[in-house]
Amino acid sequence: MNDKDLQDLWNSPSPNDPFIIQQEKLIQQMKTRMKKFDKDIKRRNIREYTTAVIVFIAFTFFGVIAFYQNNYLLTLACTIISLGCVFIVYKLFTAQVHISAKAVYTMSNKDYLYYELEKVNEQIKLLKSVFWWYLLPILIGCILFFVASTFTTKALCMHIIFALIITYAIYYANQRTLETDLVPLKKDLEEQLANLE
Amino acid sequence: MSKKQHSIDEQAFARLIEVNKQRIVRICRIYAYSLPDQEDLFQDICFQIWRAMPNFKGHAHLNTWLYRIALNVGMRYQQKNKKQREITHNEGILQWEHSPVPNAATQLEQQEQKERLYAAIRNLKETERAVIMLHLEELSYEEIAEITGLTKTNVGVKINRIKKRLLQLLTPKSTSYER
Repeated sequence: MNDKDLQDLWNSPSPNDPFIIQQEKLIQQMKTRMKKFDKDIKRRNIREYTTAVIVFIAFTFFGVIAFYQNNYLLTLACTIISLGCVFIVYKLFTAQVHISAKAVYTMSNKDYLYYELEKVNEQIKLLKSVFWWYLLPILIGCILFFVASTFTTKALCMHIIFALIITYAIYYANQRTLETDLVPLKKDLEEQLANLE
Repeated sequence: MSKKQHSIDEQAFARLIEVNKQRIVRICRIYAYSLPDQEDLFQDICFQIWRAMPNFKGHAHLNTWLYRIALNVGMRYQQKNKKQREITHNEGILQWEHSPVPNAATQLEQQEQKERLYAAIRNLKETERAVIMLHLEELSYEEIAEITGLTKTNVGVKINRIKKRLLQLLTPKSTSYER
């Protein structure tokens, strides 16, 4: 078997090759998928930013009220949570790899793999430091909020323990994603790139 | 994004897919194993071609552009499959027909050989698959370099190495390989 034989075998028709593409259906499906794709992105962005905006407005509002009631600890708690929200949005926004999604697949395989690796590295960086930029500011804000609110010591302890458990659960879930999905994916991409060198 | 969608020449898109359907299907066969998966991948590739079409300025050769999309989508599809993501199959747009065969025995033998070739290529490393597929598609070293991002010299070296491995996988008893 030589080079030509291999190429001939590869290019020979298979009995179960698709002979007919239902073109109208194909175009219709592309249009539907495109609409869904646009809608999904819009919906995701709206969901993320709306949540941040709502939390920001609500806690700024509470903070202003607390300030006029001379409850400075509560004001501080609300300010930390509000600024925490702004920081989270900023962090997520700057972490996005700013390449037009449409252009991604037209890159060479090597560039595409580098792009994917860059994306994964960015995600890994985010998840590794998730405690510092995501969990800690909100946790501090929440604890101060509970302390400043009129809770009994027992209720305060319960609230703080609850906040700590939630924080740990979110942290654990993120670290698990890191270990089970992102680190193997990074290794895989690096291997593929090494093969292309 | 939806405004740009209007500028897509639907006829040109349909023609492009029609002309290249066998090439795309061959790539699908390497990156996806079952027929429904292959059809899903086929649709993913078509979708990315559809999305990228308004931006195609003709700087790259159409073939190069198409292969880049198909291979990148194929690689991504396989990465996702590694994570054993549950795939929901889309409604079919292909009609997989069994053609009448004039010489059934020869056809069957050729088909078996082809299946062995697919299996052997699937056994290669992901990036090696792309290189050898493009070589089997009869693309020049220059075109392969443009699609994969390798240098032309590197393409030549890799193809020779992969072909030897491929032939070993394909015919274990074979001892020689003619170029």
